[in-house]
Amino acid sequence: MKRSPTLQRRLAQSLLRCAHTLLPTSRREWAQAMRAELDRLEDDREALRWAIGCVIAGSKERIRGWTVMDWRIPRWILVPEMLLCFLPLTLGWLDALFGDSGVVRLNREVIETHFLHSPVGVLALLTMVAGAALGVLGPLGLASAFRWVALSRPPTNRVFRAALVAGPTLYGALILASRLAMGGASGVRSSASDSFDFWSGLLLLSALPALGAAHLLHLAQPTATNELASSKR
Amino acid sequence: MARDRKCSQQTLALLAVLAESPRAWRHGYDLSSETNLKSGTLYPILMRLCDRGLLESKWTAHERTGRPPRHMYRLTSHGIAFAQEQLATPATSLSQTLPKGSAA
Repeated sequence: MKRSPTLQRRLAQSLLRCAHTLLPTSRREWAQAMRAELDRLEDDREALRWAIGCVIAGSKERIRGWTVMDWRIPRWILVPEMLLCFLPLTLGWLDALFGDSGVVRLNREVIETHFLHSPVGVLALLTMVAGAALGVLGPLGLASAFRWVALSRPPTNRVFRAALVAGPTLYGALILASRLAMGGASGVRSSASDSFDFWSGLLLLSALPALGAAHLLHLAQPTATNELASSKR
Repeated sequence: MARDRKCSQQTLALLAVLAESPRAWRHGYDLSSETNLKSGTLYPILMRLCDRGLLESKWTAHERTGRPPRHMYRLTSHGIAFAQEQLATPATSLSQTLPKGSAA
């Protein structure tokens, strides 16, 4: 007849489950390794000591994950993050194309009247065209992110990967340059009447898409642990 | 990838045990017993060594059914070279690397 586990053994098993929870997702394989060793230990007291150590190891790894951020997050969190990063740029792109002052409405007369008369106007025109051209990275970034989330297929094209980060950054630089050219240094100060609109626009159309793309590309990179795990399968 | 940073005494103790028979696969509990390192110290070191490509691991099924496979470890070729380099430094002798007891 099989003997029921002692209190110490049950406690050790509970602690191992705790260690499993504590370990970051990328380290879960190690919890299985700890568990396998526990099952080999005949002495219950030794098993309990082993399990306590495993909880400490799990805690160390969890704390290390906080201090040495690897920016790895569950995919269900990635979905709203990618929406936050790329949706404003996508909407901005649609507006830059088809909005009231979108590039599809531009014609020679409008360009000559409103833009070509000064360098500032030319820069504003350039920013508008750049918004229409670079803004396409918004929907492409969204598509790429969801492809990775749903199918685990990261963007592999090097030019596209570079463009995903560099495009929004360049767009932000152009918006900033255009603003400085039009309003001078006072235009970017917080005291400017529309400073909130300007900075939030810069954040939503440039900084967030660039950071989101960088995060996406980082997540798509194989880690040493993942490579090790996949080589064993 | 080996870094120039000096290893801790616990890591050196583990490297010393692994380097004794570098081609042999070892279990976590065996390593713990031989190094006197508690699991709370041993596993973070094993993880770090694996991350750095100094240690390789594999799962081995036990002959008895109903028991989960065990995780086994041994040094990679980089790991062997790294262990030799670390253990050969003048300040480090094998007796120094084996702690009498270690906190979990």
